[in-house]
Amino acid sequence: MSFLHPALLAVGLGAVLIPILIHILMRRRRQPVRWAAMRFLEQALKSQRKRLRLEQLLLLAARCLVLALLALALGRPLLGDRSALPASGPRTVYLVIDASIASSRPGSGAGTSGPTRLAEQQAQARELLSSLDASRGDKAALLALSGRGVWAEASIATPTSQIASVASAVAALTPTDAPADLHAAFERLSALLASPGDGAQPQIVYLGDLLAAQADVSRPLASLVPTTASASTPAPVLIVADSVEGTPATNVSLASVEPTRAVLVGKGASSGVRVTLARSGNLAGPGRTEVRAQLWTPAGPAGPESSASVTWAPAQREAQAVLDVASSSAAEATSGSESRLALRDTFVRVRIDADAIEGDNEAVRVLTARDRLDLALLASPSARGRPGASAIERLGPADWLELALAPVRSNAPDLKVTALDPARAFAGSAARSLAEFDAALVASPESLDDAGWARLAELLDRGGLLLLMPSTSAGAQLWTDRLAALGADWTLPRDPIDLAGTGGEGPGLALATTPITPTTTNTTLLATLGPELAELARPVRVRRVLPIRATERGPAILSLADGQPFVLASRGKGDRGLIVLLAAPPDLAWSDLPARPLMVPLMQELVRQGVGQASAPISLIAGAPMDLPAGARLRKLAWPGGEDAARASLEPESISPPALVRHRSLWQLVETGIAGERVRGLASVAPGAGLIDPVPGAQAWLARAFAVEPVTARESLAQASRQARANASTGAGGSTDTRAADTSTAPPGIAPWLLLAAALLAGVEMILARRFSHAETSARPGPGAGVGAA
Amino acid sequence: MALDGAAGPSMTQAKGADASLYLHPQTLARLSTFELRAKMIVEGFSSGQHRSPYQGLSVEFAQHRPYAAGDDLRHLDWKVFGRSDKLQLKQHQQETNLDLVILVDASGSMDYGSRSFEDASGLGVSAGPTGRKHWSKFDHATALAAALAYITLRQSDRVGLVVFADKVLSMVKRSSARAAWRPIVENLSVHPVGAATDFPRAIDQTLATLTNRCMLAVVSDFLTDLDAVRATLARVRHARHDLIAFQVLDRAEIEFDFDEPAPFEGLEGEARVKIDPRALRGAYLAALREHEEKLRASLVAFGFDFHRLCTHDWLGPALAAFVTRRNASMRRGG
Repeated sequence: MSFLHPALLAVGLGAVLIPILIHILMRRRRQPVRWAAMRFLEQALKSQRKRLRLEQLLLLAARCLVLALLALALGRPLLGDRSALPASGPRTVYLVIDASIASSRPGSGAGTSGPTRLAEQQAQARELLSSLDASRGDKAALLALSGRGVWAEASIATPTSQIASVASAVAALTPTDAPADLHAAFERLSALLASPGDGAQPQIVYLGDLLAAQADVSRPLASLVPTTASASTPAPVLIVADSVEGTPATNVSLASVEPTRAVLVGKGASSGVRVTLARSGNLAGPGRTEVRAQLWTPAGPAGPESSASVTWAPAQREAQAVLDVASSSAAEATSGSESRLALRDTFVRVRIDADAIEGDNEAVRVLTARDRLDLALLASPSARGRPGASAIERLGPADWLELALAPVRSNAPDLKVTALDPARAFAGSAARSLAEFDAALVASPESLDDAGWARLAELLDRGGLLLLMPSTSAGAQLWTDRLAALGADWTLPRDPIDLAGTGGEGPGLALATTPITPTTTNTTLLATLGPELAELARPVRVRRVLPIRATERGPAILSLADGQPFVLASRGKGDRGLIVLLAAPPDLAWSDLPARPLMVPLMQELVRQGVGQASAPISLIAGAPMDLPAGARLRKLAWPGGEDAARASLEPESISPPALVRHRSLWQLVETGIAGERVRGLASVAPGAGLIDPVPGAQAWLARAFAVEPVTARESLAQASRQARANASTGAGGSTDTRAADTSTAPPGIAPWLLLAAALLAGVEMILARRFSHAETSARPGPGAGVGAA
Repeated sequence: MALDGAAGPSMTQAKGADASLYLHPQTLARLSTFELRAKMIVEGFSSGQHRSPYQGLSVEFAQHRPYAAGDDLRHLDWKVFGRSDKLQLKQHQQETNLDLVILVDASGSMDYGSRSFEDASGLGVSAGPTGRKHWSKFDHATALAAALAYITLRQSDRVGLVVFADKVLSMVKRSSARAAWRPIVENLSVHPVGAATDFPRAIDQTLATLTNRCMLAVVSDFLTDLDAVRATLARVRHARHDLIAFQVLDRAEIEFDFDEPAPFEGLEGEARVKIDPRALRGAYLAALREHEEKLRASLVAFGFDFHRLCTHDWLGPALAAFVTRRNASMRRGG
């Protein structure tokens, strides 16, 4: 806080001593009163001492405070002056502008169609830049705030004397779909200020909002004060835009979109989509939001649109809706091996009605839709039925798998199983590739040679599913040594163990819900079975298993009652593809699973959900750092239907880390050394990015980083503007103190309020003084009764 | 009205003008001697009552009773015989001599007075006969004591005097001789000392000298511990003495109307305290009122009389109370 008349302030503050001096002078030596009735006096004093002391202190404090307030008012405090740029010397201004998704909402008092917050901030920035003068050594830098880690591309991180180019960059800023992360931004700003500069005092001007999605007030911001060029350098100037002025607009965000199935197989297949909506801003009234979901491919819609309506009660912040999406003719039209890659581009697109922020009204999730899944069953003859046994006992693991995956004979099955002999399929001139298959089910892993394992590795690389199980014919499972090369880190013993003991019955199955990798999906392979899984698993008894130890990378998704993993899943090498490992093959010698009702749903879900999750679509969050494979880059795809072409052009055609995706869009992952382009990236808006609730206490939180009190941008910019005009009138580089020159037009500031407060306090003091003087109780009585009576 | 403190003829003139003025402190302050002051008081008092204080005090009719053989015929009421033809004897209350012992408090607290002697006299007299420049509670008390003694001696009753503070300072033995008034007035000239009041000790010392039933007139400000006073009163009652208490207070003590903060210093050695009188007035008056109520209740409980005098007020009511009390006491004694 600075003062227009500091001398008056000093004099006024000195006047605070007056009541104290009066108090001291009043304690001068008076002629003592010789008094007889001292006992009553002492008795009265004893009962009233504390109250009298308090009254005296209150009066003294009130009188001192009145004078102090008057002194402050005389000094003309100007809060805005604190953040005004210094009038003399070269200035280096770091202009930090919020260009996040929240800045795309309508500005204060603009209704729904006026200029956006970013436009307001740009106007403020222009005004501020106009007060700079390159000829006197002023420099400016532009730091656009959007996403984490790096500044937006339009930023000019190094201060430059080209003020006009900074102004142009400011004008070119557009709102992104990424949230602002003040923590990351100020850490970077702190590092920027720590680097040796040209000696000019850095001035930081922050034009932005303090919203729930941007500021976590429970964590401190990086302090900017100690990291400035020298310890003696004054604190950088801070200008903070108001959080939210007036009645904020209402914004509904798509917080999450979760398909219940990762893959849709067959014509007309459908999946539920759980949509979570978050409402922020003005929640005073009720509301209604229409939610629409549809399957899309880059070429256009791939299914009918379904919709649901969400009704908001006043103050309601969150709601959920469940919609069904189904594939239709589009999937059929793109069937065939040539279009397989295109089919994998299928995604669910969810949209809601337009509101304050457009960027968070749409969300997309990859959802593979296929006519059928092609499965390769690698089983040697030994995995087939044993001759001479009974009808059931003749069936081997491969037979049980075939029965479970295709229980009904059909001309157009959802799951097409092609049996291959692992000993012959990959050898000689007729060696087959697994490129045409979505998954490989290996019932005889001991029969695979090197070529066969290489094909399986390729399948995983391409994002396929590999289902492995111990061999029933071999005693020692020597093939387990090969798994490490595929990317799994399980500890695999070679010898199975018998669990049955002498009783003949082993432990039953138990339900496990461990997700495979939390980063790619939050559903398990068996989640669709829901609560029925426990019922189905209860009668199953396991006699023999391969004792595999689950790991963090390869958790057990189904375990025995004693904790022994029964079904495990792990990502393949380089997090590509999915390996599902059964601890026991579907063979009656190992367990009675094949004869139990669990067999069919277990295998169907492992294959269907496994294929869907194996393709592992890259989920990109606008503004968040990307975790891409080494050497990978993103290539932009056209937005379906040519919608929002302006938005599609905002990002460059190709992005590589550490650059960030800042807009919601479709991306294709391009990796070197991998045949084909296997997965898509869908950049979506971060959950909660569109929450526009102001954060209570954010200003004070921000102030702690700067050790100064934040002020509103409007005040500060008005001061800067006046300063620019003063510069223009006195000549550039003039050493005149423009603050002093601008005294006549200085805003009234808080001086009138201080005067008012002083007047009110003076009134209170008079009342207190009157009350504490006990004048009413010390009023003299009338003439003496004795004489009058005579 | 012109009063000359040294001239007797002027007093005679004043007596006819307004007798009650003789009992007013303003008048008393102009009189140079206690003797003159007491005479003025009594004369003024009797004139104000419009009847002589000396009549009818010794022979009082009590009742009639039928004549019986052997009764003294001098006591027959012939008027009743003439009217009703019945022989009735007049019975009279037995007359006894009243022994009055006046106890005057001469402690330090009695030296207080808020009115200057000069202001009180209005005649340029800046100091009293003892050199004090203010009309103190002790001045008022001695005026009352002298008046009481004067009245009592004029009725041929015995009167004694005790001047006390923390102990008995001086004592005049009871006597009914007219000449006894002189030593009483001389003893009342004792200047108050700075010691605190030891009321029980003084009373006990006095009681030790009394062999017959007496009436005690205590003139004091009673700024002392009431528990001790109560115990002392019990001893007085036990000895079958009668007592009338005159509490003498200054108007400033009663009203406590000081305006400016000042240090207050005790007259009996109490520590000095700096106070704002306006802030403490309410609590002070409450404490004073409570003290007086307790004192009055204690006296009434033992059947004694209590009267409060203000140094700015005249002595008439106090003397009237004394006379009433004396008569009642004599009746009880008969």
